Amino acid sequence: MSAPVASNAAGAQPGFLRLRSVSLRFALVYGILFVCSALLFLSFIWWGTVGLLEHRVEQAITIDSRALFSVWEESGPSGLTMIIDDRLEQDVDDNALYLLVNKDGKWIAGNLAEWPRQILPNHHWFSLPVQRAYTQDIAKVRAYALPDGYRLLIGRDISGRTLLRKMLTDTLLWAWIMVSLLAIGGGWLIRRLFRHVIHSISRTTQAITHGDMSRRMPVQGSDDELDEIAKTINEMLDRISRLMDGVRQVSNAIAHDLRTPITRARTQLEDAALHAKNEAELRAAIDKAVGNLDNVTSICEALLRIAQIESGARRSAFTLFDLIPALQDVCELYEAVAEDHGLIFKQNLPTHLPFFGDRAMFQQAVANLLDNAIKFSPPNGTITLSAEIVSTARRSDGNRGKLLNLSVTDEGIGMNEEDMARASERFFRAEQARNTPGSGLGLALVQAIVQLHDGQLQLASNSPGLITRIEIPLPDAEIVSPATPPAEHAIINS
Amino acid sequence: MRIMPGPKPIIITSDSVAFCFRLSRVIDSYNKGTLPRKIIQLREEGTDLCRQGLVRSGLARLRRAIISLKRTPP
Ligand SMILES: Nc1ncnc2c1ncn2[C@@H]1O[C@H](COP(=O)(O)OP(=O)(O)OP(=O)(O)O)[C@@H](O)[C@H]1O
Ligand SMILES: [Mg+2]
Repeated sequence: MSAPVASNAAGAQPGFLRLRSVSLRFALVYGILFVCSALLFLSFIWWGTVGLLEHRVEQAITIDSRALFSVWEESGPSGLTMIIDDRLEQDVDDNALYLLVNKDGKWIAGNLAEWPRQILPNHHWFSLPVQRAYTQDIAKVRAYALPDGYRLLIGRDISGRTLLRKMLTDTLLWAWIMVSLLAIGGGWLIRRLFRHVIHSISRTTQAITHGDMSRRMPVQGSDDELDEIAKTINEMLDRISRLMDGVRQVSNAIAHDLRTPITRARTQLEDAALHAKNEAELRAAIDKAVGNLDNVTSICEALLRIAQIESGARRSAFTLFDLIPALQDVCELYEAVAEDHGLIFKQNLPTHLPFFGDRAMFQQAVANLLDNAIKFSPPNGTITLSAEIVSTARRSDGNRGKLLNLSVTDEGIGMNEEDMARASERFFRAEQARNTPGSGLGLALVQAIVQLHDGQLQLASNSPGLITRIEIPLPDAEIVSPATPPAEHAIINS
Repeated sequence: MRIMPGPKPIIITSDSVAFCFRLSRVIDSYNKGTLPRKIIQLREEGTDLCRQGLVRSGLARLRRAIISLKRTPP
């Protein structure tokens, strides 16, 4: 048991009994608790039976001695002799022992042949071997000194009780041994169970540390705590691999999407340096290159914005405001653009819509959706922006929740199911979108903003065209009129 | 409680035929002749058992006889 304790490396094979293992500690605690409580319980039983029997005998002798003393005081040795004879004649239990001797140790009365040499009249309890007709028994006796050197011995033959006591003691001892065995067995079982659980966790996590991200905890399907842990860990791993995939994909995309404008700018500059014939051509080339580099800057800015929004730091800037004027501001801008593209722009908005969030950011999200709708629509199509409040099913806190349902509908080229699933990834652009300008970051930004507001972004087919829908839960206290300043809102809410 | 190491056990003198006869005499000393039948029977059985060597069984019967004698007023 000594070698495994010294196991050094974390990856070292666990020994059969490792003192510093949690499972062994648990098993030990379990076993010790079990054995100790059994010991306590059984000694209580022992005390209640065997202890009580002995106590009864002692009590009987003490009471008897008091009666004999009072007889002695009344009528001296002769009276005591008579009483002792009487007691012996009527001792149906056949277990009483008496002996009265004078100061020379000479027998006066009783049923013992002689005064046992070792017993002094000092009121102590003694166990005395006695010889009966057929057997050798054990008696419990007590000796008393009387006036004039007389000595009195009172006792009871307790061999019947001794047998019972031995039986009880043996039974309880065996019971304890059995319980201890059970405790050892139970402890071993607990240890195995525990080791099994912990090992399966550590095996999986070790595999993952060594780079196998596809490994998952086994789920037994019993819906217990262990399954819960396994599920949580699996979910965590799923999320980690999704994030890692995202990071990988984004860095690939960055590398690719930034390279294109930079390379283009470089080619343009090089071309101009070699072939430009006059200053005007040179300037034109430089302007083009600057445009391409501006594109790079804007991609970087967009990426940074998304990252900042995803970190959740902007949530502190949330206020309560009326969404309708904010939306109308955006619409004003895009009405003109839609008109330029020969599109019809319809709005379907209520008069007031109290909303809790970041005004500028929400405007940005709606602008991105409108931008896409216009960009991917052929002329003469209709674009609709609509917003409404819907009440949802009862929530866990008992309140009937309210939901903002905002959608942008177009009649453009639309997207297939596969592309819809990936549309909000950074840099994703569908095949049909290759020849339209853009960097594939618009919907990623919308997604980040919607998530910051605890909402959901959904894409659906409009055949022809696309419906982009934003659903965001509204605060409970939207009964407060939108004109109410946010400060008061906070007071009512608290 | 001390356990006596003494190898020699003390003899209990009441476990003897002599004590049987003594109890029998005690019974007789209660007005002889008018003893109830039951007591006479117990006494006979007791002394018989003692004679056969079953001292403690004999004693038990004789003691029972004495106790019932003491209970019934003469
Ligand atoms: N209204 C729409 N109709 C058809 N396809 C769309 C629509 N909105 C988005 N898409 C598809 O989803 C892709 C991702 O859109 P996203 O807004 O993220 O990028 P983008 O518009 O191409 O570029 P950016 O918005 O950065 O200028 C688009 O390239 C396009 O393929
Ligand atoms: Mg876009």
